[in-house]
Amino acid sequence: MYIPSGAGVAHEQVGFVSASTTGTVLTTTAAGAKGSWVQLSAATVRTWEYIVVQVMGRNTAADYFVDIAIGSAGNEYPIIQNLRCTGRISAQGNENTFYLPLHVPAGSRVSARASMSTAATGTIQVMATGYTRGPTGAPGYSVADNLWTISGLTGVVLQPSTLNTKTAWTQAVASTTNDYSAIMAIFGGNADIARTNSASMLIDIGMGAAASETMLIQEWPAFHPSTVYEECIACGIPVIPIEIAAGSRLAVRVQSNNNTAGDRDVDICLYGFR
Amino acid sequence: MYSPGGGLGPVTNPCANTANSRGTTLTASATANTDGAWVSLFDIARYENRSFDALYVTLQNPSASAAGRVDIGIENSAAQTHEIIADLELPHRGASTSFASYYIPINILQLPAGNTGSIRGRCQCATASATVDVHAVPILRGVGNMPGGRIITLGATSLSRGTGTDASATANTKAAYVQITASAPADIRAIAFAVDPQNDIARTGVPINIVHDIATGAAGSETVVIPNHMMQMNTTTDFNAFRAFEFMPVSIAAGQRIAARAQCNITTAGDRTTGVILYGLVGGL
Repeated sequence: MYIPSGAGVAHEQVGFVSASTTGTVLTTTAAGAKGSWVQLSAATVRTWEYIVVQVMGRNTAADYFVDIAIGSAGNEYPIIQNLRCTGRISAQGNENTFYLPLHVPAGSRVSARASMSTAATGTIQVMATGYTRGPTGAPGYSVADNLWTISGLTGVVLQPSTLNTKTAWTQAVASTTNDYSAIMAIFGGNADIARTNSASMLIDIGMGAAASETMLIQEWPAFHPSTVYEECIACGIPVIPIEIAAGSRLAVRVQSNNNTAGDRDVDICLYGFR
Repeated sequence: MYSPGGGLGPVTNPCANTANSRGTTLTASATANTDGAWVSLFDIARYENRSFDALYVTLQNPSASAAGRVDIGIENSAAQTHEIIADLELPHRGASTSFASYYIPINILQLPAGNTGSIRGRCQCATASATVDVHAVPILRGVGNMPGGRIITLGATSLSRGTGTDASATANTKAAYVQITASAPADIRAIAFAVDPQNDIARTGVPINIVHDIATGAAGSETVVIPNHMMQMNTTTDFNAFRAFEFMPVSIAAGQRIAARAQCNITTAGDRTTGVILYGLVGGL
């Protein structure tokens, strides 16, 4: 139901630990394996239509994926999976913030879990703030699906070899399972954190059969620095209304002003909202 | 099941320079903390007969490690530029290191065919003549597939930074509120806020966790509208100057006082201090 954006809005925050200014701890035990679900809220007081999820406090410099779910213990239903949390350069050096137009019914149990790219036992912290309407009044989507084949804790890897020249299209998903009304992307550095020079990139998202891709998003900006962070830790595409029919093939490509091996790498995670 | 309707694609980036994979370069004035000249980001003519309800702006690859801000304007056919988004901040950590993106639900009305002019940008920086790359990507359907509005900016200071918020000298305790504005100039229905390092990029805590509350109401009677928005940094990053800023829903009436406060897990002076600039969405539905 649409709520006029001039109407009042309430918020509800879960997972924040004020005594230590931290989030709720999620634990992983094996490389790439999902940890256990951790409850953030036993029952939301209100219906949420927009969620700001913040992830921080990793004990190990690594890539993490975070899932958010609703549902009773043992019956968790993920409303978004594999949120890519970048930050390989150092433990606890940055937070990752996700602005998600997702619907959570009042009375829902909300939980989260994580996976990590390294084999060591990992911990990461999460907190979430639910709002009763979106920033422009729109209701939230029901769920977000991953629109790429999960392999490790990165997205679709692109490695532009010729300066300022688009790569060939690389398939993200052969055939979308559902219709989607919006997409989002998170970019990462494909585990390279020893860059010699920065990289300015332009990323295309396309749809259609191989060699017949049509542009959905053209030359979206991204940037890898060569110092401090070494990868784009907050680059991506926010949730943008774009219609994608079920059965669609999605592909990505990139151009960069840096074609040095490693420096040029970018990985792209795509999410479809329905 | 909720499923807000989809929108129209494709989304194209008119600022992309495919020759070097960068955006449009803006240059600050030769006088520190002073706006440089307006530079065209893209011509309006390519969007004739269409309006758009969101603008995605990135600020990247700064030439200086210094506080800086960018304005977005619209130029009409009489070569007059009207500022439509003021003081988008690029929180700084180092030259070529910082990145900020803003997903802005701004409505730019349908432009009749034959209209001339452009969307323009300009910047200022605490370092004279510094440069920054800008991309401004118009998105025909707005945030949540809803109409955008007008954007106001609150809390920007003359030093190209935001209003300072010093977290409490007691760890994990909220500090006193700092006023951002005594009176909101219009009804505000969503807020984004940038956080800057207040020129301190040599932080020593591991980690440093800072949360900000944004609140409304008279002094001593504030009501939080955005709670505990987290930022984390350590001795390697010194300040998280690589961030995406998006709007969060609020309901603030015109005339209300707006304030911010911070809480930090450490008490080191400087390390616990940040600045904020608020961007408010006004108008629209």
